[in-house]
Amino acid sequence: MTAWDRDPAARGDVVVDEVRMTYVSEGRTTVAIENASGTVRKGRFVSIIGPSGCGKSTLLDIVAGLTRPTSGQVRIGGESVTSPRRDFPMVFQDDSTLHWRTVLDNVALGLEIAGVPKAERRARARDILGVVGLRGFEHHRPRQLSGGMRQRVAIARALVMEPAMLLMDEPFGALDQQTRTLVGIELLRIWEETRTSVLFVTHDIREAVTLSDEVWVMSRRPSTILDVVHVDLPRPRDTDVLRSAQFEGYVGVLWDLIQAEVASAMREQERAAS
Amino acid sequence: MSVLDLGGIRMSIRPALGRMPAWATRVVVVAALLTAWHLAVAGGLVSSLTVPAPLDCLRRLPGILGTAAFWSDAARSLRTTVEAFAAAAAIGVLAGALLTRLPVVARILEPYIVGAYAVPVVVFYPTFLVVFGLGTAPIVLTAFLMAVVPVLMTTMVALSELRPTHRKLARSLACTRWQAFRSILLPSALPLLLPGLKLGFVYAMAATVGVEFIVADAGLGFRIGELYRNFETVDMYVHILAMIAVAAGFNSLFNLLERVIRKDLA
Repeated sequence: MTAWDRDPAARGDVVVDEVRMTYVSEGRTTVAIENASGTVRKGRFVSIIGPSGCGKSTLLDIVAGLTRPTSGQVRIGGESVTSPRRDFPMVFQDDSTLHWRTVLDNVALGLEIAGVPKAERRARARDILGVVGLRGFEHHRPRQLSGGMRQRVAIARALVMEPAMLLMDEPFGALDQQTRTLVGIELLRIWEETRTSVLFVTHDIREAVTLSDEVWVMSRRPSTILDVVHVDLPRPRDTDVLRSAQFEGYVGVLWDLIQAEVASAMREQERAAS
Repeated sequence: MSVLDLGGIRMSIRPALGRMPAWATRVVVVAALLTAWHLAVAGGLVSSLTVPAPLDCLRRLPGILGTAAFWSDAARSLRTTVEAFAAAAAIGVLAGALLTRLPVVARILEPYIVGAYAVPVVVFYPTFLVVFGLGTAPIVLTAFLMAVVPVLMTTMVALSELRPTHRKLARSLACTRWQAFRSILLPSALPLLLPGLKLGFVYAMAATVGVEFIVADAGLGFRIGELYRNFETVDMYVHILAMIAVAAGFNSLFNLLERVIRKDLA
């Protein structure tokens, strides 16, 4: 064992350590996350899948420092994450572009907040727009762009922060199926170019297999991480890879893991509704 | 046949309107209204004792604009309006922001705030006159009460319409409170906030002139009322036209400001 393996946080890995999250509402305690542990190794793409309402997004908020866990902690480089960090930018499900700013100034927003001088932040934003394939749209307003393009602006706004880890909360959830697939493939290309650590929440199994090195499967509430599936598909993941039997094999494995959880989560919701 | 004739007219007018720039169409509309006014008086449809001819008003205009009384009346009305509006803008926006942060209080007060919209505040003017005397104070207070309600309500709507994702974005970028307000929350609220302020100004001006009309010792509203009681119809109409010009001018000024402030309209 090397020193790095013993202390993964030392080299920019993000360690989720026994995170537990409970809510108290109207005198009743709800356990949202029973126990979640795992490590996103530097430069890896990790997805979290699970039935809806299982606390995937809550876990992501905890990693982002937006929500404090009831117990446990998230660490990077030996440092505990207790408040939002600019090097952990987030891409949201809903459109989060600012309609009164140009695409370029949208992308530069985080740098502006961080106090980076105008010329430098514009230059960096321009470079990143090239990476996400939006060169030539610098002076457009978000409403002149399609939903898929706006999500790429949000991805660029996060990437320009040179993130230690990129957090994505169902970023394609509000897009139609075809757009979703195309923007997913675009993200695959961007990620293979940048190799940033990513923690990606989705409920789409195929999306998770397409993008990820590792998929964490979460159980229904009270949630735990049921299993971690390593997706050893070759990169770059071209059409051949994405149509291979091996790809379908991973989809099958994940579906088997998640099926029982989704079914019982659905039964629970139906019971609660009746 | 009339139906066919109408069709023919529509056919010929539509392309003409479409080709004309919008401002030219507006000039035509004003000219048409003035012509209609002139014809109505000249044709004896209305007595020139009640409504003077537009040309008589035009002839009288330089004379009235040359008097110190006109300008001091205009200045008085304007100062009253601006004072009432400034107070309504400051207190309306602050109270709106406060109530948005205190949803429990807002829920309790909601029927009163909504009800305040329906109250003709003018009925309190006699009370204010008794308490504050015949000066600008009771007028400012009445105009303020009229103007503060739309400002308060649109502020609350504007702030409650802020997208949760924008708030989360501000937090995830580790914005300070000021940065979040300045760069994300304020610009996002402006499209609703600015029309609320504009409405507040219109209410303040309408209330000022209206209340001056009842009891006051100066101001455009007071002057119009006085001219009315003295049967000086031409002078009265000149003041009314001046009043309309001032109101329209301020509205244009606000629209211009809105374009400067709201970068998304550029």
